[in-house]
Amino acid sequence: MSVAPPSPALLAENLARSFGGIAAVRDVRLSLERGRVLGLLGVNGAGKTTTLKLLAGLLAPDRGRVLVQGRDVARDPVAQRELVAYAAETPALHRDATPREALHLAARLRGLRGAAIRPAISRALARCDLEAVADRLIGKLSRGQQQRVGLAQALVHAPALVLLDEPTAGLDPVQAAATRDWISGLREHAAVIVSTHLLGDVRACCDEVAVLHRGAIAFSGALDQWIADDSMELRLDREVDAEFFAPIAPRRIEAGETGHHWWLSLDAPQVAGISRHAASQGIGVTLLRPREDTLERRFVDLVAGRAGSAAATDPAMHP
Amino acid sequence: MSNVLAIAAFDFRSAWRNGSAWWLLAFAVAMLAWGFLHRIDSFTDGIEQRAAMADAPGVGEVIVAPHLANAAWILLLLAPLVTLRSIGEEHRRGTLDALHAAGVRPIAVVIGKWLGATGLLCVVCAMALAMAASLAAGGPFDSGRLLAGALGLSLFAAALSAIGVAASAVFRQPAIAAAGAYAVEFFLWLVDAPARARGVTDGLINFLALPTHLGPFLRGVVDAGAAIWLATLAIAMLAIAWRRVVWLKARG
Repeated sequence: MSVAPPSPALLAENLARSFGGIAAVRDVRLSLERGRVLGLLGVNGAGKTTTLKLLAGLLAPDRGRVLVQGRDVARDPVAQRELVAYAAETPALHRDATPREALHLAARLRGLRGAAIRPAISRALARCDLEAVADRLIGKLSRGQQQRVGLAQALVHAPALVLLDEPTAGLDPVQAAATRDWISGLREHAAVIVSTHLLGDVRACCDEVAVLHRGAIAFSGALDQWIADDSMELRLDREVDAEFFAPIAPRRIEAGETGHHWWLSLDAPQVAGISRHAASQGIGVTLLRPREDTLERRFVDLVAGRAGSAAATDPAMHP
Repeated sequence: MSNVLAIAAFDFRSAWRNGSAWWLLAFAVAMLAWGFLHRIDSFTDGIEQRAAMADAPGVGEVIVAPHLANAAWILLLLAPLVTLRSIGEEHRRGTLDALHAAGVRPIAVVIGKWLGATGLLCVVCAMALAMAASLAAGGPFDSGRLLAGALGLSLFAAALSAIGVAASAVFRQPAIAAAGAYAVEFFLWLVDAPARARGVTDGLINFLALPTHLGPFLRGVVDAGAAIWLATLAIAMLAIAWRRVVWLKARG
């Protein structure tokens, strides 16, 4: 007897949604397994928030469907309540309540009852580092703490799919870094989608990336796949010249500020070969990593390329 | 149903926590007590005259009925203040989306908000009824009249809070929502005033007016037709609020 493979945490098929005749989202397809974090990238107005709301069941799609663990969240309110968590960019908070009271309401609305509520609240407070302020009014908390209350509300019921809309927007660098760490930790419990236009968020905590451009997916795949064949930053413990790299045959070689420091365009096997080559010459590799600005360049190239091709084909852009 | 009760309980507690319920209750009790004591004073002043009358009005007519009518006026003033933030404010700060994201149906949001607001207004009713009930300590007392009044005021409060919730669903700005609720309430309160001034009391226009349906309860009569009219008004207003919340949800 064959056993059906388990449903992915999220399967979105051909999602489309228009507002007043203007297509906000067109044929979006996404699939995400539990334990993975997907960065939904896009410039402002690309359709990220609409896509998240469609995935959360907050908006009904004009076409397509969203399955979370095999259940259609637009048609099954119980699945939406139990399986999905959505935290908006601006935390939706009752400012005259305390975090504990807000979580109590969230837990009840998410279907928790009786003795299950208190431990769920304690877990959510602990996970979002809110125990010390659990009984203070939300309106008196810092922006970072308020953001965490919003996240705690979304997570109080241990959902299978967590949707976070611009979770680090407006946070200072320390709070943003803490939030990214926290998002990375969420993959232990759920599949996570982070909508953002901050590439640092994607680099810090995402395994996969989907780029939205004008409501359609322009790229979708693993983050390292997206940047794998691009420039690597290399630092050596001895100075070398460009001839040193001849046996590896990189596609492009760019010198850094000294002979220790190089930028190389390498295929995946060449990345492994560079360390072996250096070791055979008695040279140590102190750093080998994707170029820091690779993601930015990829993103801009993709969006600019799409904009260029749209301009070339869209008669409205050629009056 | 449990979502409805969770929303109602949260809103009810929230009003006490942020102090607004205490201020409204203080205002209501002060107004009620002032009118109540004034009526007791009038009643004691006229004891000798009434003793000489064959069919003299008692405590129920002289104190309880006008006292409950006064309570109705106070409910009319307070209801828009209680409900002005109920749905518009939730929409403005995004908590309406959070409720939808939790799988709460628009009808549950509307009924939860309405129940929370009605609960607060019923606290005012309870204060008014407690004052009236204290007269039982002083002599013969018609508790049936009081029970009918309690039912009438509760239905009246439910209808007023439904008007307020509907206004709050239609208008996002709390001040405009309150103004809208006052406009509807006072229209329904005064719609037959010109007709009554001409002596018309049983026309269609009188049927539309709120006092026509509250009056029997304050006189100690449980009028099923009046109860149905008040319930229908509440249901119609809640239906408007529900359609609006469905629209807000669909619009995203």
